[in-house]
Amino acid sequence: MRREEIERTVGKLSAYDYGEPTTAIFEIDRLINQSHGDPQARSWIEDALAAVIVSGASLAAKQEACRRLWRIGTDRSLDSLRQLLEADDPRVVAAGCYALGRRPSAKADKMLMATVEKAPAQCRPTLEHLIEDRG
Amino acid sequence: MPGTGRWGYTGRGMSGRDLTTRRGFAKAAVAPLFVPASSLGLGGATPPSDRIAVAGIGMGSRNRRNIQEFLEAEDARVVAVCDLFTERRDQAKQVVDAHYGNQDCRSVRFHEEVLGREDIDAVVVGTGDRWHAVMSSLAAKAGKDIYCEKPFCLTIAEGRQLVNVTRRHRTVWQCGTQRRSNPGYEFLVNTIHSGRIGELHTVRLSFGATGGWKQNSPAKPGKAPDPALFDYDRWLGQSPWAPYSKDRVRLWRLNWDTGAGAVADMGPHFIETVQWVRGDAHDAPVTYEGEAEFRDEGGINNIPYWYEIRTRYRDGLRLYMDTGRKGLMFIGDEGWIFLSDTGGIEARPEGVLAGLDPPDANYNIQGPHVRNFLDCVRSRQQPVSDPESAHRAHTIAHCANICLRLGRPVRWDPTAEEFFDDAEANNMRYRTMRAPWRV
Repeated sequence: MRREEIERTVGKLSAYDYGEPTTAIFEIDRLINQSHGDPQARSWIEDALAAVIVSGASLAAKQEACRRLWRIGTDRSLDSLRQLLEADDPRVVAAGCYALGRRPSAKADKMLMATVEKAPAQCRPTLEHLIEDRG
Repeated sequence: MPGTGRWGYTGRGMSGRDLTTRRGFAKAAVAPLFVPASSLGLGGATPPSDRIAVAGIGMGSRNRRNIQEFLEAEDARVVAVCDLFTERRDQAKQVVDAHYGNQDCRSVRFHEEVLGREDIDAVVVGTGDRWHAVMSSLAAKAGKDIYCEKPFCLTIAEGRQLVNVTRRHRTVWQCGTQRRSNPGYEFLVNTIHSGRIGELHTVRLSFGATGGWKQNSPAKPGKAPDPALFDYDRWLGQSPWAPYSKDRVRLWRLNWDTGAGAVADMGPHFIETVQWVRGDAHDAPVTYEGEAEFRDEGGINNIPYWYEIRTRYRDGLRLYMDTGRKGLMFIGDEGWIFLSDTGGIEARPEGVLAGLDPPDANYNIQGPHVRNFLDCVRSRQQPVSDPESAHRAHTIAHCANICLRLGRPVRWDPTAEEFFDDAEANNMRYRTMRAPWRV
C-alpha cells in the first residue's frame, strides 16, 4: 500500500459534508480493513485522518475522521485531536472525544485532564463525560 | 378478545400459558415483596392499589404493540405515555383512555415527567435503539422496573454497564425478546433436548430478506421541526450530533450512529434461543468470520444489508447467521428442525416430529413474555430475558457486527469480554456518548 494512494483516498474526505455522497468514507473503510497487519500503512492512514482534523474541513468530515480514529487511532494523532478538544463548539469537542473512546493511553488521559481545566463552560460537560467513562 | 384491534395489529394477545389466567396468576403472584407504588399513597390520580402502574416511553409502532399487552393484563394499568412526537403520544393516550373508558392516561413529551412520578412502578421502553440502554439506566436509577425493547444496547460496553446498573438498583428488567417466552420456542428447545435430531452440531439463524435493510438516502439536511412538535436534539440522544434530516429520522435503523444494524436487531431473539438450547445463557462463540455487503454508493445506510457470519463455540458448536428465510435451523447428526419466524415448524426426517403436536410459534405471540415480566415485578425475581442473559446474547450480535465491519475474523473471550490480541476490535466495544447521556 503506497503512501500517496492513502493520502489521496483519505484526502477526499476533506470535501465531505452532511448530505453529500459518502463514497469516500467507504473507500477509507476499505483501506483501513485492507491495511490490517500493516503498521506502516496504518500510521499513514492515521496521519492522513489527522490532517483532515486540523484542516478547514467541515464538522461532518472531522466527525468521520474521528470515527476512523476511534478504530485505529494511537498516540500518534493526539496532537491533532487536541485541536478538537480545545474547540469552543461542543459538537467539535464531542468529535474529538469520540476518537479517543476508551482506548488506553496515559498521554490521552493527561491531555484530557489538561484540556478540561481550560475548557469553556459549554464544552466542559463533554470532556468530563469522557474522562469519567475512561475511569 | 385479547391482542386485537386498537393498534391495528393481529397479535395473539396473552393466551398460551397458565400464568395468563386468573388462577395461574394468583399462584405466581404470592410473593409479598412488591408493593405497587400507587398503594403507598404517593401519587395523584392512581390506579387500584393492587395493579402495577406502567408507563410507555417511545410510542412508535413497536411499543404500541407492547403497551397493548399491558392493557390486556388485569394486574397492570397503563397510566402514562411519553414520546417526543406530539402526534404519537396523543394517539397513544387516546387508545389507553378508550381502553379504560376514562381520560386518566397522562401524555408527556419528556421521560423525566414519567421517571419523576413515584406512582409509576414500571416503564416499557420502545424508543430508538440509541435510547434503550440510556433510558433503562435512567429508569433503574429512578426505581422503576423495566421492559425494554431490543437491541437494548449499541455496544458491548453499554450492555455491560446496564447489567451493572440493574444489579446495583435491584431492578427487574426484561429484554423485549418475546420469543423467549413463546410456547413454540419452548417446544423447539424441548424437542432438541429430547435427542430427536441427535447430537447438535450446527445452528443456522436467518434474519430474513435484505429489502428493508437496503433502503438508502443521502439524508440531505433540512429545517428541523418545531421542538414542541418533535424534539430532534432529544431524539438524537447519545448519538453524535448531525443536522436534522427527515430521512435520518425515518431510516435511523440503517446508520450506526442511531441504530445497531440488522444482525443486532433480530439476532438477540434467535441467539437467546440458541443459548437456551445450550443451557448456558452466558456463553458465546469464540471465533467469528464472515462476509458482508454495504451500500457503498453512499448515503445514510452504512450497515451491512447482506451478510454471512460463521462462528464457533468453544465446544465446537457452529453458529451461523445470514439473510436467508427468517427462522432458526438446528442441525444434528440424525436430523434437523426449523422454526419459521411466522410460526411453522418443519423437520427432517419426518420422524423428528412423530407423535408431537407443535404449537403455534408465531413471533408476534408476546403475552407470555409480558406476563413473565409482570410476575417478576411482584416476585422480585429476574425475568427469563434478564439483563445478563440479554447482554450476552447481544454481545454475540455485536461481535458479529464488529467482525463484518473489520472485514476479517476475530476471536472473542467470553470470560474477559474482550477480543484476543486485537486492539482495533476492542476499541469498538465502546463508543463515546454525547453528553449528558450515559448508561
